[in-house]
Amino acid sequence: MSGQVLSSLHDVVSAEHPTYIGGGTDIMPLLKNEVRDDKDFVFLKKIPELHVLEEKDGELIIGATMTLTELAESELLNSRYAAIAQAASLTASPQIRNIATVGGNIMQDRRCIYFNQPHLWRSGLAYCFKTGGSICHQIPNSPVCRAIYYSDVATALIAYEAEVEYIENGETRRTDLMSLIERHSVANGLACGEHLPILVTRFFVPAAEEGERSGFYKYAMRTTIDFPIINFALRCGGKRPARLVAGAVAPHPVVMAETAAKIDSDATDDEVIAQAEDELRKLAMPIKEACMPPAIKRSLYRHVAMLLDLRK
Amino acid sequence: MEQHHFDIVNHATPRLESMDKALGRGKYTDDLVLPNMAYAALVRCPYSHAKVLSIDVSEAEKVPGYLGCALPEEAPQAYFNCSGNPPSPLLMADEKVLTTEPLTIGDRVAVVAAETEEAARAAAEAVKVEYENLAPILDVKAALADNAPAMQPHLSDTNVVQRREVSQGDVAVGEEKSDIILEDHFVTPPMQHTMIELTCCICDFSDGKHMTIYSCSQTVFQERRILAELFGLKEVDVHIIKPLVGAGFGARQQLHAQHAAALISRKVGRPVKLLYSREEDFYSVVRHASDVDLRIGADKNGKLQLFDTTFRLNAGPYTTHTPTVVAAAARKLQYNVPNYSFVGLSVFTNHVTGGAFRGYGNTQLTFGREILMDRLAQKLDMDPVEFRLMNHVQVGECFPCASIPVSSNGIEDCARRCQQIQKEIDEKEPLIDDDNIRQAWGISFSCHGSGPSSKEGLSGAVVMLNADASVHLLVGSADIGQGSETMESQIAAECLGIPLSSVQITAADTSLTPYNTGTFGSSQTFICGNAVKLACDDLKKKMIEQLKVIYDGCTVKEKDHRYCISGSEELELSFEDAARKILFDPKGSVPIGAGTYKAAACPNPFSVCFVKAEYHKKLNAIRLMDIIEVVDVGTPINRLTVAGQLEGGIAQGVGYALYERMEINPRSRRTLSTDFLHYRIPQMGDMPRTYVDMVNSHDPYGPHGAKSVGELATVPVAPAIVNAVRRASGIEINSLPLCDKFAILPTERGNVK
Amino acid sequence: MLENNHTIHLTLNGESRAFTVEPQETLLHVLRERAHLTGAKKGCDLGECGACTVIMDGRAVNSCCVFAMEADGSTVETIEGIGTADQPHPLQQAFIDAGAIQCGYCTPGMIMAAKALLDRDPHPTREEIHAAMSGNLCRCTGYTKIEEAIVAASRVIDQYANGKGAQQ
Repeated sequence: MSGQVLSSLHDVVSAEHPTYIGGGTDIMPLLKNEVRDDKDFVFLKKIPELHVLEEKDGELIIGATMTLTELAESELLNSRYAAIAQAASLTASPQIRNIATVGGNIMQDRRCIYFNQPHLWRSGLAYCFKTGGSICHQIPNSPVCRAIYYSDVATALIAYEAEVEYIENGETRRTDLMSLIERHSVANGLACGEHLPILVTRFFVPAAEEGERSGFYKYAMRTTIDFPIINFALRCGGKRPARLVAGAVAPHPVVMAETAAKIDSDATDDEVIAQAEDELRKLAMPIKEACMPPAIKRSLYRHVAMLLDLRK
Repeated sequence: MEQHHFDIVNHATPRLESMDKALGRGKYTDDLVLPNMAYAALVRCPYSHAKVLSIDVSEAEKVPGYLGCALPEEAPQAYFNCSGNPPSPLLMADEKVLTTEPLTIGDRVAVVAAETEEAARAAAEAVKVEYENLAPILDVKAALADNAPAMQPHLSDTNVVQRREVSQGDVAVGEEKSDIILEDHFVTPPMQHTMIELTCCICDFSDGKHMTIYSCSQTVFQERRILAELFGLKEVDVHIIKPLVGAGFGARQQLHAQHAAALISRKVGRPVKLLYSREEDFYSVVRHASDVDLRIGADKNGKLQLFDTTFRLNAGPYTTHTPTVVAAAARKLQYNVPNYSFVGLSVFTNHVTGGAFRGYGNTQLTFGREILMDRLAQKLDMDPVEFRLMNHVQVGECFPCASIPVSSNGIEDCARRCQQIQKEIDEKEPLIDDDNIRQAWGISFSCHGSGPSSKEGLSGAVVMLNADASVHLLVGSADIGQGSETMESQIAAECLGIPLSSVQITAADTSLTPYNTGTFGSSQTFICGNAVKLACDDLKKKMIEQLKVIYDGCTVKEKDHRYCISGSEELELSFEDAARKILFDPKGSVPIGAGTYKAAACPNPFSVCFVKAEYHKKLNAIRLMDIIEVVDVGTPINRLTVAGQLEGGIAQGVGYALYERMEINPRSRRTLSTDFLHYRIPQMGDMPRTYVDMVNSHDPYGPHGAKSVGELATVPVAPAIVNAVRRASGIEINSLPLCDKFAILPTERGNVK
Repeated sequence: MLENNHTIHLTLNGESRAFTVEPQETLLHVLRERAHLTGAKKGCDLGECGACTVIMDGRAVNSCCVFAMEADGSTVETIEGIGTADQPHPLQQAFIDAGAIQCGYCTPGMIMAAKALLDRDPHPTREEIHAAMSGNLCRCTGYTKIEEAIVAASRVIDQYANGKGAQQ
């Protein structure tokens, strides 16, 4: 077991299988629950290049170690990219947002009632895909892990068609965020030794257009701490077509293109809501969640209504 | 009502230990370290029902810092009952310290010790236990099926460990006299206490002869008795000390793992600390899930004629408290019903063991009762408050099947005060009823006892007077955060006419303080409070007697805490002068007052709760807006802590109603509620606006007129919430939590207040 | 070569302190087991209850979920560092007076979360109080009196605002 605090991106060293730590708030409970056995921790918080938030050359740049609190409090985000600030402000609890980073939030583990459990509890079931076994307890005939990806910030970033820069095998690459999350999601369905060995460095968001509006809505039973039971981010009102994304319904965020088109049309809000229900019934890949009957979860598809004031 | 004047009680007084707690220097069990202390951890069963085939400790022995492991064959083999109640035929023994036949998740199989907490946990995980995983029975219905195997065959051929029937009148007559009878099947979930302090004990049994335990505990004297019996010791050789406790709510009204800690302490010859994880706390005890059939009948004038219930509690696999909880529920009907039948079943399952939890059976019974009462009021076209009041038991009358008449009753004042607050709210924010949102009020009444209803409450108290008229007060009563030490000190100060700062209290140390049945049954104010009052009376009596010895031949009279001596000498002594005289006079003595109070009564406190909720038609969602709770607790000894009990009780009721449940996961056949994300309790922002108040009341049997508050506070909340939701949504509800049926919207209190 | 033990430096309640820690060790472990400051409590050890809340570089954090190595170089305030019996912090006094303390186990975390709030914004609205305190669970009080205590403290806390008077 080892730990290393980096103070520059140039210092990235090759540990056996490094675990990059932004805030560490997602990984710490997993280590305590022994669902991960990371050994070599590389702490990123002191790398200045990763701690940026600015608009430059027609892009918004968000460094990976910006904390969720910093995003939530950013005047720039609140005025021009409201959905991103709102998503950050509604993630976890104040204490966690104060230390959790946006990079760590995007690269968080998918979650499941069979996985996010202590060692004792899990010792009463066979290992699942995510803990190195060969079954998904949620859907036993599924060939892959069906755990859900619960990031709030990802939903908002994808509504803004964000791209991401990362270092993989010593190379710096840039891709659209959705692709990376899809790759991450697949690898994340396996034991932690199989996870993507990448260091996320920055996010890029095409600059917001004049007159564009955005918003983020999260349903959870309580004020805070809880992961979303569903979340939505909507960007609309500019020259670009509206974009609507839902999270916490599948192993990755889902882009609701049909509903977005309806939002841009003359359809009534009720028609938009009906479309969203239809579309999510097709896109969602539901699993069992704590204290959440499937019928109630499906009824939450209607909560897209909470963002439709942005149409006006 | 007669006016009573008080100098110390009936005031809002910050509690005595709160500065230590605010500064972070108050010591809870986990904050203590003994010299040479090692750490213990339990090897627990991950299944709801299993058989241990083999245990292999060889890998554990390799963990650095490993000290030892105790196996089931090394533990006492006798069955015991972990309940912190005093001995009773209802406390059937069926549990072992370590078991090879686990009957629920978390059952103790072995205990290890190591040099550090981390090493102890690692060693416990390294102990390889081979299990045969057996089919569990998780709900009452399955447990009662004809072919269900008996869980504890030495106690019962079936899974009904005890059947209790209580009745008066005749159900057939009740049916005949009722113009309307409503019935339903009510189901409430198992709820976990989730005290924020993790369960912890430090046990030194290193010499195998003397046992010293620091532990979070509500019932130190019962724990001493059970441990002495288990390990063949004299009670005097078992010393239990209760440091600050991070709450209990009933969860610490039983042994947790002190016995296992003792076992491994003896084995490794060192004191050990055993700290639960949050997961272990979730498996330790729950409020019983209930499965209740209930019928209530009334005549067309609204007079109740029939109350007929079959009340089944999911006990889990061990008896612990369950038959006592059922018995407590049988006598909590606060309405006059001539024809009353209660059949109570304590049912074994492999669910997490049911135990004591604030409300103790009353919560589950009141749930269905108050919902049916609400439906009845609507059917009868009566006001829900007036309907309840016209049927309510009055002073001098007994609850159905109870033997002690009600001695004080301010329920109508409670209801009127609630209505007044409701009116103020409605004037500011009239109820909404539009295409999308409909708001409504729902109400519930409730009652409780002051102390165990079986009248087994008993407490001693000793008060020792110092020369400067300050006193040391010794009580066995455990303050677990509810504020009993402050309350007891206030009672003493009021009795003796001294400032609160002149009272120093020592409590809940089995070697220093007199016996007390334990902190449960909302008993400390009434039971221990009376003992303190008697001890103070005894002190004052002894002071007069001693002054008569000192001033030989004189008469001595006490008035307003001053002593008038007349006869051969004429003088008046202040309390302080008298104390000095008695201590230092050649004919002096040590002034010690002793009191014991054996419950001769169990006065009922009463509560009325109003809830405003809204229903969002398009979203099938509900939101709580306001909760009002007004109580008759007799004289509130400390108005600040009584209000705190009410507010805390409301929050627990909100969680119970909305989302709390130890949820069974069908695939793994056990609960999945292991942490605060899988099991949600309300946060600050989730609470609706709350309003609490106490009506003027004085109980003739209570110390300074006081009755209880702790359990009462939470009992009416869930049914009042349900009644508000049913009136707002038009949907009938017969089970909890409400998140099964509705999307729960977080409260938005904003800045209105 | 990466090492197994690391030395971290903290400014802990105003004092410079160094601790040798393991890579996976938490700040809570450092505080309770190495610095013997037991005010921060372990209530869940998973970042879900807030009983272990301390202030790190001006922000409330769950010390049970902060890697000790990540805290290297930071300024950490715990409940023990913000007031004494003779001079309690206004929040400590307000919690006592309002009856906001019952079992007291959540209290240090509550007070530290509230202090982080008031240090930045001495006069928060109730909504801001709810938001800032929502990471701290209490099972005794129903939160009413905790909220009242924070409101009361915010009225007397001006001298503590903007860092002035706060124990640096």
